[in-house]
Amino acid sequence: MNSPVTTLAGNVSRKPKLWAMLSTMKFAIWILIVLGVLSLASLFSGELVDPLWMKQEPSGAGAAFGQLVYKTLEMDQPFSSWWYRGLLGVLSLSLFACVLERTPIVWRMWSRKPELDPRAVNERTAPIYITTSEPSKPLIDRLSKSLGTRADSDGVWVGESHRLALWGPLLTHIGLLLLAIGGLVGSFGGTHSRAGGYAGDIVAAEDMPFEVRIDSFRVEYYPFQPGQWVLVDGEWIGRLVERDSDNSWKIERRNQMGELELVSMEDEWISNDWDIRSTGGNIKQYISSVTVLEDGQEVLERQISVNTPLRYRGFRLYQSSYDPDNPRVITSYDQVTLVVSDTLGNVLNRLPLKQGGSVQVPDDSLTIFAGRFLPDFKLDSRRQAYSASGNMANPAVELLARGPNGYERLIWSFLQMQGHQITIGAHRFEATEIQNPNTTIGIATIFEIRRTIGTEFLWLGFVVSSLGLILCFYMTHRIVYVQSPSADIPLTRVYAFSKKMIRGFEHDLEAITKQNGATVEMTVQPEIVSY
Amino acid sequence: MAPSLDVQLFWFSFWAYLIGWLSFTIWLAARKPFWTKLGSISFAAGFIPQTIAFFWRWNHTGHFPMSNMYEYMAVMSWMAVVSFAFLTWRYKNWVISALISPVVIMLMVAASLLPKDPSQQLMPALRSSWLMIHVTLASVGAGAFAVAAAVSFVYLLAVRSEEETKRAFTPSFKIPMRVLVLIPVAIAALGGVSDALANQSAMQLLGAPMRNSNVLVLLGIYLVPAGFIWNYSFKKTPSVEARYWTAIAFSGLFMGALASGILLSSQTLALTSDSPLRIFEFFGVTLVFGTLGAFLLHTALGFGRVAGKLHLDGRLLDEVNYRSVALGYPLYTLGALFAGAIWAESAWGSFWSWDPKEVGALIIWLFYSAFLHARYQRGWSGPRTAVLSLIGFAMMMLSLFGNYFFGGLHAYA
Repeated sequence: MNSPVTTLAGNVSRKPKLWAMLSTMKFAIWILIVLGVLSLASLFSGELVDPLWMKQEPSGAGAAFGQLVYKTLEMDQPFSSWWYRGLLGVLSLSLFACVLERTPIVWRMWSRKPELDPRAVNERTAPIYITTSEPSKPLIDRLSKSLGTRADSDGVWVGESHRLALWGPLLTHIGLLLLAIGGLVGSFGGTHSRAGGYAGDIVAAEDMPFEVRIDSFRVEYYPFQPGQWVLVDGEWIGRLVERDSDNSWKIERRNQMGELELVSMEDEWISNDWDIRSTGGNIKQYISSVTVLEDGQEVLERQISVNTPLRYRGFRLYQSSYDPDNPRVITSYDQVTLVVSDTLGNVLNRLPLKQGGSVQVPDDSLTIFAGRFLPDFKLDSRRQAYSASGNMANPAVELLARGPNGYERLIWSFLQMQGHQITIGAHRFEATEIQNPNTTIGIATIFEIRRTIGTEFLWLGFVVSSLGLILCFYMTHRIVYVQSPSADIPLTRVYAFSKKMIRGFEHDLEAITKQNGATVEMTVQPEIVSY
Repeated sequence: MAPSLDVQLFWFSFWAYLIGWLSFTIWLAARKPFWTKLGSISFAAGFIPQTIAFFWRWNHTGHFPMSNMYEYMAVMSWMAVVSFAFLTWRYKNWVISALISPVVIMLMVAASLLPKDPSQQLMPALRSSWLMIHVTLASVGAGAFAVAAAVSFVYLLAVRSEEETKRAFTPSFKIPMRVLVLIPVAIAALGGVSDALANQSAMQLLGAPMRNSNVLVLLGIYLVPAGFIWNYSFKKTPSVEARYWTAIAFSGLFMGALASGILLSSQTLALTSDSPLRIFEFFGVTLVFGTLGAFLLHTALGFGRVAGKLHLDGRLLDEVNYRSVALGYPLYTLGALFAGAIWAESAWGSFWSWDPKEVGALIIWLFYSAFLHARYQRGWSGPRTAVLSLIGFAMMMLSLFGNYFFGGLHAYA
């Protein structure tokens, strides 16, 4: 593989052919074009082929071959397919090769001293070459206002601006490489799941070292506003025009003849959770109040809403959606009294227990946690407990007993069944005297739970490439050499170098040199870009 | 309901810019300073109310006014006016001003076709300070690409030597004749062959149930011979003429897109969400109107030979093209890609979801990256980079309106 490769400069390189190819600009351009074209084709493929077709039985040999091709190329998910990832990998390799190749070059350019030998620069290598009849001194004075003096010797003055811009392309490429690495690392690790529940429920996910208790969930709506489309009386659609009174609106609607008419309606007949322009209604925000629990202990209280996820111990919980179609009776209470008795029925302790709180049972290794309260306790077909209504028909409190060696037992204590005690070990337990029970109808909130790895690379990549882009495009490196054969002779030569914006540079130099009635000759060769 | 104040100001700006554009266009032919003065005053007179409209809307709706397509296009046109002012000041060349002024008009026309209702409330996902950063930077970047495309268009159309001008306009009528020959072919294909081939497309043979095979088959039938004839035509065509036709074709496509937009806006053409091939329906109309538009434009320019008489400085146009791309590329990268990714992580839980709009932005970014590499390292300039600028702008327009066809997470935009 280590065969010699002739570079553009005519030197013979001993780099491997593959490496030499990866580091060329031609290869980079091709891979960018190929990726762009295939991305476009993949975007359209979803429009052209029904993904369900993949799952159908092939109708013949042609169809079977088609499905084979489709499956092999993973066209149902083209952007996560092996070939697309492979191309992204090749682009990353090309970036890596480019960074390694360019770093010493940029370093050499950065640390290079300006050439002070008058013979070293000439009109053949300079994109802009100017001769002026003005002596060098006043010209240098004017030039030095826009270009800092880099070197000054007897015959040559060198001015330079925005030298930092030399690092722009390299930093941009390093940043992009970091983004590629971050993306690659992230695609091979991390977890992703969805979970949710009603107020009082506890959310857990695989590998997540903590639990989250949902304290409440609510949907916030925007107030009525003129111009808003609304559903009125559950029947017709109109547009709010203006407030008629404190509790009514003038609403514009079309009658059966298609004519516009104004109708006055009271607020209670106008639905604010519906909007013709958006499927989500006139919703302002979805807000879940949660408490983070570690080993049953409350450690953090937060609100999760769209754009404000909960970030905790490497995990992120997003307000993903909610379930308005399955409302549930949600209850809460301040505290219950936990009655602890011995096996003969003698009451030993009466312990106050707050909802979500816990208590250590005296002379026992058990800890009792207070859970949900259901006013009308029922079991569904899957033997899951729920409240059939908001009435106190069969109230019950959920208790969780935890003991050593991971022992756990969930029990329901029924408040209207006096003496209904559950025996665990040497003690019997019963919940009584519930304080301030509250019943509302609630809807489920749904979270997306993610743990992503490699994000440090991504953040660093964003910063480095942003910096690189700013240096690259908003700073232009410029060098100007001013030579004067002799202080007595009114002839000054100016050689100006820049890789970009030569016409703009020409305008600037024109403005600086054409002063004091000097005769100025200017030659511009924008095709000369190397220096 | 009467239009809101910002919409009334929008229309005032629209007419002011229109007068400005006409003034600059007349100046190109007449070269009297009066027209540049009138043009500048008109643009200033349009810019002030447009700026007031922007802030009024911001205050009125209570959120940064970049939450729908109308607001996006209006801000893009506002940015194009800023570019117009900057480049006029930087290069002190009225030709550049005259070339950029139609970009403003095009964007204002596009904005005028879109719903302008300011009462729309911001949906939860858009309630973020990233909205301002993401959309503003992306729209400024897109505005800069639009300026680059406008300058490139004129470069291709008008920059040539005297000799080239003579050659360019004489034989060019052959091409529209060839294009016209294709229209009956397309009609025949549409009318007669569709039934017979409806279920015989290549994809169908492979077993894929096409959602609408007729359109695809016909598109194929139309495009394959068109490609051959186009290729044949270009082989015998001097490069300058090819460049001229590239520019004409792009302007025709733009006019076609505009015509399609007007038809959509007037509800003559409907794109429904249950129509999976709506993108082809849209571009079918675009292509038909584009072909007609290109023909008309050629007739106007070809006979008048106005473009060849402008004697524009090609190197200057080339630099303005590059400068605009160089201004837009970092802004687009930072705004559309980086800020978008960071916001997506907050709102949707993932930096990148391969949403159609994200893929569109990535394609544009890849394209302009290739453009800049080709320019820096391969020395591409002049007509080559001008063609690339036009292709990039066409891709940007496709991405901008792409969510109408592809849906996805950006479907609300």
